[in-house]
Amino acid sequence: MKFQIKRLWSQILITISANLGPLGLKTGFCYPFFYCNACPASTSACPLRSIEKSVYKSNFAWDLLLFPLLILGFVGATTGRAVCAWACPIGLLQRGTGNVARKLKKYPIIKKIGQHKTEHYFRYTKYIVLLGLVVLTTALIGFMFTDICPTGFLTGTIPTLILNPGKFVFGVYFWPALVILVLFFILIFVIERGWCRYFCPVGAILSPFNKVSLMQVEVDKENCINCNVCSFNCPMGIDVPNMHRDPECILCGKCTEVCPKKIIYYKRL
Amino acid sequence: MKEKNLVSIGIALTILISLGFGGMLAFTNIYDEIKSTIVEVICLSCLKLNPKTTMEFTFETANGQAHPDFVLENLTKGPVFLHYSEDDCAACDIMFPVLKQFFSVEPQKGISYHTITAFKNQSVPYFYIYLDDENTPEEWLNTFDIYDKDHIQGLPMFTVVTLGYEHSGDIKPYYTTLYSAFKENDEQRIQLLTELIDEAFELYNENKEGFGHHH
Repeated sequence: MKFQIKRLWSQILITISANLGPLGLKTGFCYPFFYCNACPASTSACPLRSIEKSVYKSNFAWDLLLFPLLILGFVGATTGRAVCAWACPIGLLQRGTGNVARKLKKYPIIKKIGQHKTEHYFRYTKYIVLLGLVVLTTALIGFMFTDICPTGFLTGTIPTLILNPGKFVFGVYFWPALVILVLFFILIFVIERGWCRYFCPVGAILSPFNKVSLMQVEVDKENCINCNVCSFNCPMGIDVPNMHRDPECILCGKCTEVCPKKIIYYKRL
Repeated sequence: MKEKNLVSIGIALTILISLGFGGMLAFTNIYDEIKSTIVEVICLSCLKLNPKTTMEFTFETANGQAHPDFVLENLTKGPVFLHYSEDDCAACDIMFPVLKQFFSVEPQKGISYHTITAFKNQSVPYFYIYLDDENTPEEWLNTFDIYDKDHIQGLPMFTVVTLGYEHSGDIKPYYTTLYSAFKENDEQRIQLLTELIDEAFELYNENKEGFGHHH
């Protein structure tokens, strides 16, 4: 079986296993990826919701903060951001939209957006979202990222409205969250893995672990011919020939497959 | 930093995190807390939706379980009001002062609480059930599923249990539940609560004698 097909199966099976709530499987774990507990089928908690709950209006609850961080920390320390490519249901969604984004690249304006010289600065936005909307505004004024989360809207609000017709009315954050969902879709259709690159707070927690994770993607720089086929195929837009433990790498393995010299490889402990 | 050092840090982190995670699962109730307060309960403000508020009373409990003893006991004093809340819930914070003002009660946010208050000089047993307070009696917590009339599993939730006359001829507990920060402003919320408690007392006063004998 081709490597990317294996990855697709992994994403599908984990997405299914994250949605076994209707079978009675409700656990006390946090997902180690970006997925919402407001989804009627969810089996576990959103790690961001647990973090928000731990700091809400400065009522500090260390256990609710540590628990999701330890789960994400374990996954991060062992495999870095691999869950983004191999497990995250929103990653699976972006895998689908990524094909469209790739085709849209033929339009100069779209190509320019994704390759602008300031583009890499925008990648810090996800850390700002994490610290600002998940921690600070939650602690100081009670406004939470999950109030406007596009994944919450997509997997929680919409299915709830469909499953319970006429039972709910729109809350105060409905319209702002809908606007953000529309922008989310525009983003992921225009820039491949746009959410993972710029905004995902769970990605922001996992990214630093790439620096020390036990698994990584390594490039044999000495034998690289700088053909850049790897960079062109990288869904995260990384300069692959020059990368070393890049915080943006999601270990999808596309570069290892397309490298004509086969000098990009998974390195495990 | 050298690759060897990075790997050493990675190994140390993995061991440390594994021990910490195992320790939390083994020695704290965090697993149960996450399950009961995040996975099994929905914060309605996070869902960006509010359940449609209806004041229709019903005899059927949401999960088929009987009304708990503490509710039945307090029903001899007046309609019972149950106010459910939790941490990290914007709608709960909106409703907290409304309920304090409406019933002239002084619950502390974060601590489950019970008192007998009054509405138009008539007694109302008031229960403030804070799901995140670990000292909340189990019997109180169980009522969250019993009175989740519309199967919303969301917070905040407000239940009033009064008495009603069933077609079988029995006087039985008769309840309704409201959810989230219903209505647009505090004035409208208090108006709705007034109508609700007025109706609860009307039913209660019609039926209390029968319930007293039966109970």
